[in-house]
Amino acid sequence: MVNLIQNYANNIGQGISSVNNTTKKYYNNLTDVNSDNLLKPLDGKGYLVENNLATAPVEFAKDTYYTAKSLQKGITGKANDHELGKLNDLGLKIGGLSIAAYLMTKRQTPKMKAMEFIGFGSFLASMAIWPKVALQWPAQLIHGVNFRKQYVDEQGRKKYLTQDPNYIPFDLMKGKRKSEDLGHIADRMGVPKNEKDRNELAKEHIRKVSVQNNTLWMLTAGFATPIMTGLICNRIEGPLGKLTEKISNNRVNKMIDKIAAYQKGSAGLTGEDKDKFTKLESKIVDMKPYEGTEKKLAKLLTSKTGQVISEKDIDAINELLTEGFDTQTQKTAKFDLSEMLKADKSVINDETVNEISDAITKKLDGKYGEGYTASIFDTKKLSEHVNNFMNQNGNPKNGVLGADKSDELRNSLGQLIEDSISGNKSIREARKEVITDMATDAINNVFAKKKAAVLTDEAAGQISKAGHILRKFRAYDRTISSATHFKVENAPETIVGNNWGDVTSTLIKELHISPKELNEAKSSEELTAQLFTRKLENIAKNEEKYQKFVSNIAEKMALLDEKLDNPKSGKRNAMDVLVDGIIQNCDDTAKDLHALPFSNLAERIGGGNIEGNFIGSIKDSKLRRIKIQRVDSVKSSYMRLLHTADFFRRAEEYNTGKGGFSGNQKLDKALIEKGKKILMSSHSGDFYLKHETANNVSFYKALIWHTFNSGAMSESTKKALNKESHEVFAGKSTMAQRITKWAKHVGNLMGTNIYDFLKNNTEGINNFTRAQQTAVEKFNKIACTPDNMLYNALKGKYNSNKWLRMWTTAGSIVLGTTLAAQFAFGKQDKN
Amino acid sequence: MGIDTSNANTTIALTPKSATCPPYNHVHIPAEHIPDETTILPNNLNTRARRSFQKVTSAFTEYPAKGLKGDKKSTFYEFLTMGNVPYILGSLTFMGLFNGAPSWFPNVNKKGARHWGNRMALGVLFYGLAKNLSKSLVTVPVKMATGIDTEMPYQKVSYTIPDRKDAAPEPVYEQHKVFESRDFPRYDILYNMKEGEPRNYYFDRIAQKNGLGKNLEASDGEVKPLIKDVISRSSTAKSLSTYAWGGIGVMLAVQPAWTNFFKALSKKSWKKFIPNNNENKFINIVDKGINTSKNLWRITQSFGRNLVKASKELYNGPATAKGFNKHAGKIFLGFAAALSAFGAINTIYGAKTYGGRKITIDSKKKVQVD
Repeated sequence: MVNLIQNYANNIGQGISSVNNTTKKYYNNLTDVNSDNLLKPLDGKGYLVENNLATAPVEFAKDTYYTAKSLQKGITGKANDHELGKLNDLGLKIGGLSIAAYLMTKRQTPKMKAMEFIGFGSFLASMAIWPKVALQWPAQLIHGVNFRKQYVDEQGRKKYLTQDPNYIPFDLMKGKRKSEDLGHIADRMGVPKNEKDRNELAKEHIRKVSVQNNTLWMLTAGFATPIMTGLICNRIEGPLGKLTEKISNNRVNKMIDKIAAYQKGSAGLTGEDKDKFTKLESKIVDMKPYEGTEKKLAKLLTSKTGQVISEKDIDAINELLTEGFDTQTQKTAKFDLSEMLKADKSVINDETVNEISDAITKKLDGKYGEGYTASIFDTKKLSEHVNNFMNQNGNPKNGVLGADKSDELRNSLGQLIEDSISGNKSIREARKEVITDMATDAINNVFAKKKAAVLTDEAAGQISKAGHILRKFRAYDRTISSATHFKVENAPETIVGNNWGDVTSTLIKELHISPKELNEAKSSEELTAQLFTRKLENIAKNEEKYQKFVSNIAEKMALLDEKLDNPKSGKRNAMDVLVDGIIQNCDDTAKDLHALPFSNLAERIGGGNIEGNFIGSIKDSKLRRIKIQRVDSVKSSYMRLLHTADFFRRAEEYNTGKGGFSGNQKLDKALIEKGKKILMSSHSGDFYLKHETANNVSFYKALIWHTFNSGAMSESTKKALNKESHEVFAGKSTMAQRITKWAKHVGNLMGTNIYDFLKNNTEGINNFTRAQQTAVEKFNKIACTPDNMLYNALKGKYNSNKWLRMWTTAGSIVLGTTLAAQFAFGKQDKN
Repeated sequence: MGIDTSNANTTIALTPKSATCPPYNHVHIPAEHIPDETTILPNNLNTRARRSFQKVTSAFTEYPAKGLKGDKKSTFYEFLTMGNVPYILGSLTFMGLFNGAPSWFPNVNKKGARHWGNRMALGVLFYGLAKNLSKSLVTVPVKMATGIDTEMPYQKVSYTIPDRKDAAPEPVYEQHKVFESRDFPRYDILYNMKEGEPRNYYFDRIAQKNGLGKNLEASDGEVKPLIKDVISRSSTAKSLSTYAWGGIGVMLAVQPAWTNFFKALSKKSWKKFIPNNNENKFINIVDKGINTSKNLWRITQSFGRNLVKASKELYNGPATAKGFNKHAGKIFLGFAAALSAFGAINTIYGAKTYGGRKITIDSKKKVQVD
């Protein structure tokens, strides 16, 4: 390099040797310089950056390295302006990521957590994509100018070629590409080949188009970037939800496998197997989160043991004992605690003796005059007697005597006084009896007052044990609940919730509802019912369409079982494992609590067996929640939808002369009309009112029979729904079988032989248990009406469509205006 | 958003010092006769407000008008100043996006979605506020310790070549900071800063304050590299910490406490004024004014109250949460505070130790140029 510079300098020297060696003369005679022998200046090191998919990774790596180096130079005070600019970009990214990470903590589901980062990523992507797609490419297409071309200058700083309109390094445009060729750009402008200063015109064109596009970029990015970010997130959310559901379900299923292994117990395990089980148990029944409470309870019990305890103390113990449990359970536990810590003990100390002495003195002196007691009885004897008694009984801690010993002391004190009085010859016999009675009364009164609840060692031990049992219950329940929550709960991103979304989306899709129909139907449930009926009647007319309709919906419904039960694993049904887990946890806890004086608490958690249902217990509410309220009611809604479709198909077949109802044409017409209405829209209240058939008993009976109980099913439905794929588990019924079962159940539960409206609560044809006949059970079985199901789905669809349409329109306007503006750009001034 | 503008002169002309254009109506007057009106401005709230106002108004009016025409006089400064446009429009669009959906939600979902949308919209506002205000966490300690005000504003006045022969040169006003560029700080306007003081008054003070010595022969030459060091370090600190503080703004805005503020802000909570027919118009107008003031005071109080509450919520985390979810607020607060503190300390350290690191040219040492 040094040689090059020296050669260059020498050559320059030779070139200008004919020129007088003063600056003035040099400039004066500049035109006379013979430059033929001069060397060309060295080529600059600057170059245009190739930005394409192939070079992107390398450029990314280079940029990352440059930023890291800039940071190091920035901290040591050596970074230049360009490097400091890069650190600003770095700050933006760090800030954005910290926001995403924080907002993630506010989100409950994996999908929403991931969306926070995707949102930030989409924002950065939108910032990069918008100027490229909406400005750079169209400008290049129309004007032949790439105004966002980047270059690296002599100092290695990467910049946009045209960002400073007063300094565009045109010398780097060496015509390697058409957009870098001034000649080509002049051609595109229509400048004649022989035009003077042709290249200068092209340069001015580049400058002008660049200034205009850079300005337009600044004006549009504020709208475009957020809109693009929103739309990208909107598009990603669906597929991401499916992915996160799969990942989460796999994770939960693995946990369920561990629960199943834990349920087998450790009996018969030895050595390594036993160690493995211990490890497994520590995961499934993780007590760590509850260690703090357990310690607090132990501390409280230690501090109160052997002492008289108040109601407040019992509340404090109960609070720690039942932390995390519902109010009802806490009340039950307090009931047990209060029983255990009854005020049936006495505290005997010096104060007690004084109180007895004072009470006797007060009574006798009050009757026979001051000083009388002292004249007939030495109260010191009381003290000696009590001390002897306590010594003989091992001086119990804090002077606490149980009920028996307390009575013994009380009686012995009475005897002491009686003996003392009877030996006193100065007292008349008649008075002796009176005095003895009065003194005994006084003693009894003091002992009655001294009754107190005392936390004994035994009671403290029992409470401590109960606390441990309850913590263990919570630990196991926590593991099970995390799985049941994800599988069935009424919350975002659960298996049941997502499946409901899939089924209803498929329903909307299969009904081919136009935007106009959607707009009308979403305003009321009645309009939705009308639309649904009309659509379903049309579909039912065509066997092929009908079969496709029910089959596609049933396929989605069947996925619910598959996702809930995980049948492909070849292991036990996952939901059964969870149900067994709940039963095991509740039963074991109840059994352990029964062994302690916490029988009511035991019943509250696992007992109360009424007609095979654990009414009122935690076990009952947990099982009822997942089995009946969530899974069964959703499945009942699905069956109702399919049964409704089948009924519509049967009605259509009847119209074309196939199949039959009652055989009476007039009655059949009425049955079909009413049946459609009931299936489409009737809630449990309508069943109680017998679907407004008050004055026609036989019609009502026929209606219930043909709508629910007959077991009839269209052949088309059978063909479409008797699929093995719907069985999920071997031995489980097909979708067609399930529909019939559901319909008969509802018919039996809600229909009645007794046509008595005063009774209102119908009695089933079959004998259901009382637990199965509660209003809640009926509500769950009748489930969601198809029109309500569609109505809510349409509203959701309308909302998301509206949002999407509004922002897509806004985005399209911004994009359209930006694209159109290109046609006004680049026009050269006439002069 | 858009391009990086933080290290650039993103400000725009204040009203000219003298409203009238200098009397250069004759184009034959040589350019060197035009005085340099570039002046340092006081670094106070008034200047900041006026500069921001003019920057924003020009960015939305004058500069786009020139830019869209492809004006020959469009400059890089104008392009950078227009960087404010996407920031402001983007913030408003984001607010619209966050709040746009709940209008069509069923009532049961509307409430929750609206609360979150409102909070996110507030977050956009807090982001900008926190980002700007947090600069002071670096610049104030640095100014106190080194005497260098890295935010020192100045107004640059230049005259453009007239479009027509008979036209007067038009003044162009640009708002800059003396130390906005590390490569080209405006040392030239730091000479003769104070009347009656030596030419190098400013540099003398900086040299003395940073331990380079008193009565230096050429304090400007000694201090200039130190200033560059301070610009580089403080700019790094600002770039990294202000965005983190902007994030804290968003985190603060999403706390549940703000629900109460939005309730206080709602139309429902606005205590309506019912004119008293028995009173005259003037009294009613006064009463209406009092009623409005009371409502505004109520909203302000609610804001203050909930700001404190939200800050506590951010710091303490949700009561039921554990681990990162519980302590995320503390962690990010600590992170932002650490960035500011480290940035300020590093800048001050750089300035204070500069004397010991000064580069002296060793005539015996070989220097290779490549």
